[in-house]
Amino acid sequence: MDCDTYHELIVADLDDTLSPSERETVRAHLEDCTICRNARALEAEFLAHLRRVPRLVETPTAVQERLRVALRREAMAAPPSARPRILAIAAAFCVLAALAAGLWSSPGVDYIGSVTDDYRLAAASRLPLDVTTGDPNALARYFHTSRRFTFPPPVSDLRAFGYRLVGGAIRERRGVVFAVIVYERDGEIVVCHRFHDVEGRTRLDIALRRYERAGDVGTWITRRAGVVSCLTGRLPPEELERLVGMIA
Amino acid sequence: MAGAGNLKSRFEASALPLMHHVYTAALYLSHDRAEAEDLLQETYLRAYRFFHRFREGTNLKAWLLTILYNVLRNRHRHRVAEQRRIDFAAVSEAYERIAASMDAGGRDDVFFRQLVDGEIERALESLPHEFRAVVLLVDVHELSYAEAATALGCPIGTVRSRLSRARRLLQVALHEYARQRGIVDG
Repeated sequence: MDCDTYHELIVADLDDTLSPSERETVRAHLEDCTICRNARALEAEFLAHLRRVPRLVETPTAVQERLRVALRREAMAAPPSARPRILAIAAAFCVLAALAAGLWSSPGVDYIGSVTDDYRLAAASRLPLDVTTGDPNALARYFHTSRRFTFPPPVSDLRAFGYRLVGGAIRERRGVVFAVIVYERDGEIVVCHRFHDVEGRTRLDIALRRYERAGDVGTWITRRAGVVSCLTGRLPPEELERLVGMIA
Repeated sequence: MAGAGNLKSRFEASALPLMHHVYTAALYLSHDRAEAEDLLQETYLRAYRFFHRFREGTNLKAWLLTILYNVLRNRHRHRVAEQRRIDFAAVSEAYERIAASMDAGGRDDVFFRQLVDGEIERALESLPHEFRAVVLLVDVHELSYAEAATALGCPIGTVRSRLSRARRLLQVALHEYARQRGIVDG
């Protein structure tokens, strides 16, 4: 072993992480090597000094507050320990519902993941929005003029219910273009998706609705006038039902 | 749902007081205040989501710092690796000269006692990333070598050798500051 390797052992010894036999090896080497003896003395001094600095940097108050808000939103989306249980229940419902409907292989199931993922992002303030506006008409205009849709995605005005429109985005997954609309009320987030690709899948919709009522973010799926709407939020069922009635 | 509420309270009670440690590490690792704030938030949100996987009785700070390091690694994995060549033979030589002064001058003459804390922090910031990270985890946050190895995703032997090199690099850099300030002779 050369002195470079002994230096590793010296540092580890000062950190109290050597085995007894390694410690003995170092001790024996130090008796014969002035360079390493000096190095050990220097390291011992330096370690004591290094551990004083750098001190902890205090997290700015505004950053702390932002983190607490994000955690509160995350908690509303799904408490941590409930997650595995909820997922198991949801998966069981999903399988049963799909089997009952004879639609196990239907591609429509995919959009469930999309809408709940978007809800979680929005609840954590991390859903990228194309447009930030409190005006439902302005958002509807943005969707209409984008030329991305084969239908006019409606933007319901929920302001009478105390909700604030945050904004919206256009997203595409697996060839399906979604209009995403985000509402907020006292820290509660509601995300609405609208898309237009499901034809003749009433049974699937019913199955998904049953599944999602037991799900972790209260997703509701409805279809009216050829537009499928998914509404996600952690609200009491009766309020979700009322909103579904409003936006469907 | 009582269990969930319990877990949430435990998370808040045990993880939030460690926020300054995670923020400090994020700041040193990223060199950027805005990114550090972002890293802090992402680390805590991930930690919250996976808190049911945290093993009670193990080191929560080490667990949080492991998540932080993973977040950072995922963010920067497409970045070109830091290309800084260090001549360790020259560093070893310089270090041996400094160590020899311990023999000549004794402990009362150790140059870094005369430096201000900010200079050590500046030297730490100047270290290449892999050395900075290991000093931060072991010396600042007092993780064990095994915990630091888990956080960094490397063997314990690598932690040991990086620490040895990092401490030599730091002392050589500090000696240079001391020389520039006239604390020691060139």
